[in-house]
Amino acid sequence: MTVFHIIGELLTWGIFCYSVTLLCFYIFIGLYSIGETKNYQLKNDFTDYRLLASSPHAPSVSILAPAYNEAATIIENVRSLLSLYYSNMEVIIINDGSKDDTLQRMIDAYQLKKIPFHVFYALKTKPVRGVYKSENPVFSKLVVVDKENGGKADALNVGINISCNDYIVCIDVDCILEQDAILKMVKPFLEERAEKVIATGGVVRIANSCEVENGRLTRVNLPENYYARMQALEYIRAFLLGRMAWARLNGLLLISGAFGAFDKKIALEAGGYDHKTVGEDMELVVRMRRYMEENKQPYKVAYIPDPLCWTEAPTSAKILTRQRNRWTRGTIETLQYHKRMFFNPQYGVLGMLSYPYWFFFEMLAPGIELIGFVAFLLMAIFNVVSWHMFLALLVFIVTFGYMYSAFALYMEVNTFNMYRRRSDVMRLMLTALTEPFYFHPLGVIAAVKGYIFVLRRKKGWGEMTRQGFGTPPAKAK
Amino acid sequence: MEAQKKFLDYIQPAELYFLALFFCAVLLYILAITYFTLRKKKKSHFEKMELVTVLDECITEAIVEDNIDHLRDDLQAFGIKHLHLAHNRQVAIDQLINTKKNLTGLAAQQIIAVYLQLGLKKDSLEKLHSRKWNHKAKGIYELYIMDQHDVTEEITQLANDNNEFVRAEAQTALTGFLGFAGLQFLDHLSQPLSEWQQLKLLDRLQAHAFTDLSQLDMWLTAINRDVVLFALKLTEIYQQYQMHDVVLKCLMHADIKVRRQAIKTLGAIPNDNTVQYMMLLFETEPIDNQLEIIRQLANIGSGSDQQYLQQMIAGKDERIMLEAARALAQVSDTEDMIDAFDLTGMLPPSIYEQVKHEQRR
Repeated sequence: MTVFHIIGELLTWGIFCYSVTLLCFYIFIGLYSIGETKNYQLKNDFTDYRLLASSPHAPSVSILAPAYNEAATIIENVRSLLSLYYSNMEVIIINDGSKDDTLQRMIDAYQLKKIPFHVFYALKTKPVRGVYKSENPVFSKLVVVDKENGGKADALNVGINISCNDYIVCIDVDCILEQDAILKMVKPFLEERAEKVIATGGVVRIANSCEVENGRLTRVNLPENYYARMQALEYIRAFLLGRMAWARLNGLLLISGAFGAFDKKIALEAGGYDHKTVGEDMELVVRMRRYMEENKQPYKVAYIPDPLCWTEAPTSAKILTRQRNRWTRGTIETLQYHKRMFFNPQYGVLGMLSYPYWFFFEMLAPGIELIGFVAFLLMAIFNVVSWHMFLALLVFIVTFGYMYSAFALYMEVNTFNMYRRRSDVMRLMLTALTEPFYFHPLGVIAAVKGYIFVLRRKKGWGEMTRQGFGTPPAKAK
Repeated sequence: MEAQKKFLDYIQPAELYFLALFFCAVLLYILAITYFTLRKKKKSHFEKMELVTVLDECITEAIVEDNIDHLRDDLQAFGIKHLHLAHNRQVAIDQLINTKKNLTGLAAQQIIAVYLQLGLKKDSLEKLHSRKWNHKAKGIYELYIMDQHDVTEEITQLANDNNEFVRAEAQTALTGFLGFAGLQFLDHLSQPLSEWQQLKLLDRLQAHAFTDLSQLDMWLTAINRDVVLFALKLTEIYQQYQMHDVVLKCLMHADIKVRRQAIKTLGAIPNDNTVQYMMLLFETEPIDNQLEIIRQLANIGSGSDQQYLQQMIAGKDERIMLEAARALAQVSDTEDMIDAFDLTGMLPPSIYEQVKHEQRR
């Protein structure tokens, strides 16, 4: 047997075993998530969240929303946040050194005045230039912090330093939250038993083409844009299946930066957000979990399957690939920082299951997929494997993907059913048919570019342009 | 090719095609059930709307007329037409519950009368006697909202149930039915009482006039940490001054949360010695509890505590400095703390400015 043969055999078997394990994980995740979602629905079937909204004994919450060059939409976004149902709450907007007139617009619209405020730099951040509060009691919940530019993580750390409440809810300022979002996010913290609830994640959905009035989502529509529609399906799969299953295993490593709630004390003790990574949302969750494991404190990261947060998804290949590139870099950086946990039994599920899963099936997947595809293609070209075999493998993988997407759609329809028209579900399924041939390769290429960026030590978020929300034009019939 | 042969020995294209076909079959099956689920949901949505519209008319009439006697025939006809299906009966119960929750007095009584007239209590009782925890919990909830006091004894048995949801609903129902007397379940509660549940119970108690909390001392010394926490909250909210000395003992509790709540509670029921006890405790407590002590000193402290607060300001932790400066400003009731207490050099100017600003507001 020549070296070539050995390499060929290792490659074929290696990729085959990898694929089978990955598919088994997908099947397990899909099935395992059912119980968690069903359980959540049964438990909260007749929960009256109103008592939390008005109770003087409800825990105090600070909403942290960093804003950078958001002048066009900031007034509307802040209004939307101020209208959330929760009385014991403050909304902290952190102006991260915007170059436009974001701050001035807020000052004018909300009658803000700079107040004397002593900032405790419990977390090291860029300097705070000023803290503003409204002279109008109607906006008494609003706190605006002006600081030197330092990036999203730095802005969130300033928010943590400024916050004087027990729980922090970190959000993207341009997201639209459901009115009862905070109530639902806070409840798991109040239900904690032997395990301390250190964070709660919320489901993020795609808001493109949805109707928005006065900062509130009034009608859910399926995105008209192909990329956004594809992401709508992708988010259903990721949030409704993936994260619910990981939450049930208590192995969740990621809470979306767009919407997550944290126990402030633990977040502070763990060191707050890391501004050196572009994946600060995942990094914080991993660090908080690591902190709890190392201190031998039983803990839990909860997840809420209700669609509570709506965000605008990228609508062009260019912006989408930038986003995916950044996600990959964030994953690599986070896993690199915490490599000590890799298959380390000291970290329990986190070290033995979550970390390895993310390492093999999230971080390495695009690379292995690309290598596997190219290798098999070359082998087919050079007659090492038959075209027949190549095609069979392709059909096998593609049909599995379709089945998984269909299952995610079924779960969506059977649970939260946000896309109620049969035509919407059909369109989503038809969009899914194109995924393996265009959308997925796009993501793989973006992720591989992310590897290259990491190797070249390139940093930065990349521009993320948004169109903003509004009532979409009437559909042509 | 050795490698290729070995690989193909195990996997043949035909097998992969067969698996792909299997996936396609499953896919089609999932799509079919998705389609039927959507159809069913749509149909049941319209049925629900129709049922709710008719029921709402009956409810409105019952409320307006303050009497359902003249509606008996209509309700009977409604029942025969719509309520032969369990699903529809549940829709009717849910609708009545939603309406009842927003009403009080006679109007609420009329809703209960409609509930009973439609024979829906039978459904709630069936749920109460079900083996499934979610049915049982829902049954209790429905019977409680509909003020069905005759099941109180049965529900009492469930207040320490192993299932947390059944237990929680039973406790809520008892508090709703009996007010403060309904808290008797705390005497023997060995199961946890979550903060959420405590909030719910406090909310239910608001609807009742305060009677008495004769077993409060027993709860304050209970083995169950959650019972102690809840009792401390009750003591604070209902200002049970006579419990002062029992609450003092809670300052020695092993649990940090209990000690923090005890500090808060003592702030609501102080006597002449409270401040002294808190000061004694201060040094040994973690920072969060220390901050709570200072907050309470601000409320119950007096001019004689100014020196103690000044010492705190001279400390190193900025959080303590700020809280102590606030407390000092509150107990001294002077406009300029720095002049009054010569804090120059001790207190960072930004803290001083902030406290002064807060004082002005």
